[in-house]
Amino acid sequence: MKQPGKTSGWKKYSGGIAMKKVIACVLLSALLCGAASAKSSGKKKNSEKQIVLKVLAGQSTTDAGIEKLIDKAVAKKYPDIRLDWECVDWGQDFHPKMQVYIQSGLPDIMIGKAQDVITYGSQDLLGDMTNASYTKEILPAAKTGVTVNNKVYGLTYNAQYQGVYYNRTLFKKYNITVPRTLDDLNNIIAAFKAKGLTPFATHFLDTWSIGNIAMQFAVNDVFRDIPDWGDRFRAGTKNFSTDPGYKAVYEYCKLIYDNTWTKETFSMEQTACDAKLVQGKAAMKVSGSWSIQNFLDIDQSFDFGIFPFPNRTGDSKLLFEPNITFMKSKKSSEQGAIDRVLDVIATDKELALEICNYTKTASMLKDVTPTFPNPSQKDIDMYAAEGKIQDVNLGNNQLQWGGFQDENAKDIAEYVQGKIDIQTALKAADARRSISKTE
Amino acid sequence: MKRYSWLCLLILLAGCSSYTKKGTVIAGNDVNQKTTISVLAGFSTNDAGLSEMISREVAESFPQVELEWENTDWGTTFSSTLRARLSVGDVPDIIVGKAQDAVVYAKTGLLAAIPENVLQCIDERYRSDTSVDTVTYGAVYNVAYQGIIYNKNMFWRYGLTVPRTKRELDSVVSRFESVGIIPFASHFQEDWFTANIMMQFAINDLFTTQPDWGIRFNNGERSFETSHEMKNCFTNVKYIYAHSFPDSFIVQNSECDNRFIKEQSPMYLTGSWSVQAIHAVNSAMQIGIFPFPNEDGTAGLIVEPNLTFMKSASTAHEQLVDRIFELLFTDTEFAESVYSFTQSFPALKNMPMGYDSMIQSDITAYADSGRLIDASVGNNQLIWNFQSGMAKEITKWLQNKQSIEQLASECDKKRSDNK
Repeated sequence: MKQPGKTSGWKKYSGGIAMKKVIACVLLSALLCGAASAKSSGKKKNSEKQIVLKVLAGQSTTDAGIEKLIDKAVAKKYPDIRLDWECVDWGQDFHPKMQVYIQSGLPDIMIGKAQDVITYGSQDLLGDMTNASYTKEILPAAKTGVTVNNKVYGLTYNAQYQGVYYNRTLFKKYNITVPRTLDDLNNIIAAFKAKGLTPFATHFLDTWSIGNIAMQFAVNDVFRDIPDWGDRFRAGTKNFSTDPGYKAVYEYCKLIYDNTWTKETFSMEQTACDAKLVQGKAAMKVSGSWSIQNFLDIDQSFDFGIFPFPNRTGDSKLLFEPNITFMKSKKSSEQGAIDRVLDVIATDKELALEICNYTKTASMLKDVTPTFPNPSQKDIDMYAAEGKIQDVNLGNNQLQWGGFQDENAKDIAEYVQGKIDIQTALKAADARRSISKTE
Repeated sequence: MKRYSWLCLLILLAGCSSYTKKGTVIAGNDVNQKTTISVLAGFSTNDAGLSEMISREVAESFPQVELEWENTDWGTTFSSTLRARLSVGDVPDIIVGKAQDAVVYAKTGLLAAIPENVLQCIDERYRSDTSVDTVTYGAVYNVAYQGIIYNKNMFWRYGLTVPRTKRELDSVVSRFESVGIIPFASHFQEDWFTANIMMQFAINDLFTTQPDWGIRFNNGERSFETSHEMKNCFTNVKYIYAHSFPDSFIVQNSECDNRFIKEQSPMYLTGSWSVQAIHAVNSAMQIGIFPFPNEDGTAGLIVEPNLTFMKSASTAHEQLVDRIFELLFTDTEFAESVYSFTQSFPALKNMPMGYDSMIQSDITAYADSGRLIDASVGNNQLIWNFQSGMAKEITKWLQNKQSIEQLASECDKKRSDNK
């Protein structure tokens, strides 16, 4: 195809002169109008000066919609700032999007998980929040997971608890108590199967759910004993294929698969899975508090509890994961506007309450206590009182999700279905050693 | 800012003595006077956008020059477009194609020699690829690597290692098929894909041991009908087809790239041009490259001189074209941006990559072990016009419309297309 001749630089420049004349005329007119009516000029200035900040939001299923709440709060305090949202599924699309934006230029604000701060903060892509006033509004415990080389690169907003959600009514009906050990767990699996009930609800169509449960198991069976296991793995002194803890983790995944709806799980999504748990078609689900909203949407009276998946030593802890985490681009030219938005997010307690109640999560802001109904809260309170809670980012920050945990999850999917043996699956993780964490 | 620079430059030029070529005023006192240089480009998929990049680069140094581009798809319309323009005497000043084009068209007297100062910029390895009787007619700008691009994660998942022999490849293919995975991504809708993979096989299986096979074929001393090696190459094409998507005859290049990226297939017999698409969608994807294995495990990774600049022997702007070539081949910053944009590799001497290629470590390993093979050995003897016709005959065979003997016979009948 023959292309038309290109416009020359000369022509472009000539166009520039012409355009300047037009702009000059417009400015002159504006000044004249301003002299005539200062009031109308002021309104015009506001709309002309509006700052648009691009936001990439990697959302979990329960987060959809919070952008509208944030928009409203920001507009109330800073009408000159508009947020241009791009909301994507965190598990599927956030990291590929980030890879593209790393090449073309990051959005001004990114919303992901606390572990993303470690991934992207260590690549010198994120802006430093250490001395920002809004950082002081965050609970101290929520800062450790977003700190890289003593600098805070993320604003952790809320957290979710993870463990085994169970149908309290079924447990009571069959006189089953919460298991503390693996033997206890195997016994109740057998008991439910004897009653014709599926022990575990799963939705392995979502690879992220496999990766999530594997990390839940790993925190209690690998990282609790060896907190720097991931670093040792990279140093070559630890391997998936020779570590009894990680072998157990993969075997637990198989245990779950062997005791779920095996024919459906690789075609089942989370919502359908959560519905079946509520309907009493399964007794337990290894999950996180992102499921609470689904549970209560289906049946407001659904009575459920939570316990940590037992480990080999019988001392499992309930896991919490800092969830929605705000990050800012280091290279954005709108640092002032970004900080004003983050200040709204960290100081607007009404907004925090609204978001935590909406997402059924715990707040990481000081002095914000969600008021949504949560039948599992008493279990959470009990484990917290006993000091049996653990930040899951102990593992997530050492083994990154994108390219490592998600690929391992695919290995596990093949292993539980018998397409590869456990040793091959574990060795595949070893083969990814060099990409287990972005340096 | 650049626009202001141009203005200053043009004012200066207006006041200075004119740059002349063979007595022709190129930029005189009338700064609006333009010199138009016509360019016919045969681009590959990963080159889209290059004409704009080159135009911008040239415009910065030669604001009085306007490049008038005619961009074509190299695999489908480049040769026919060039022939059509030649037939009406509309010869472009600059021709951008592949190294093999330089050899083909130099023999017709269409091309002028590349100036020595430009040749000095090019890695010596790629000069002979565009030379006829010691005169070099093409300036190779970048190179592409060809082989099987593979998904490392999927290989790790199933405990597989890179196959060196055909038997090992069979095992890899069987393993993937045993778990319901289609081993090869392919796009047989496009003849150039068929021709490309056929030539990959021929370069490794035939031309390495019979480097003048194509010349002898032209002379009638060799034929497809009597060549066990060529028939084996046909069989390899069928092997890819048999272990690829059931709908591969309606799959286009971009769709094939997408399926590979989405892990629908772990292997893709292609070239480094596919890396651009992969990088754009998922730059974190773990990929590597290895040569399609031959029987004895000696196959090498194929390196092909790619983007090649040629100068018309009849251009009225010879010196200006030379200066444009000099600019393009000496501005290393620009070259780096081209390599990064096209995800290709430098043909310029002592040139840093300028970006991290997703398959660099494998290329380095094959280079270090002396396992690189220049594609020109085959492409300069079986020219594209012939390869394209051969691909159509292979397609008929794959669709069971003719036997392999008929296919070989049809290729022999196209001998005249190779001259």
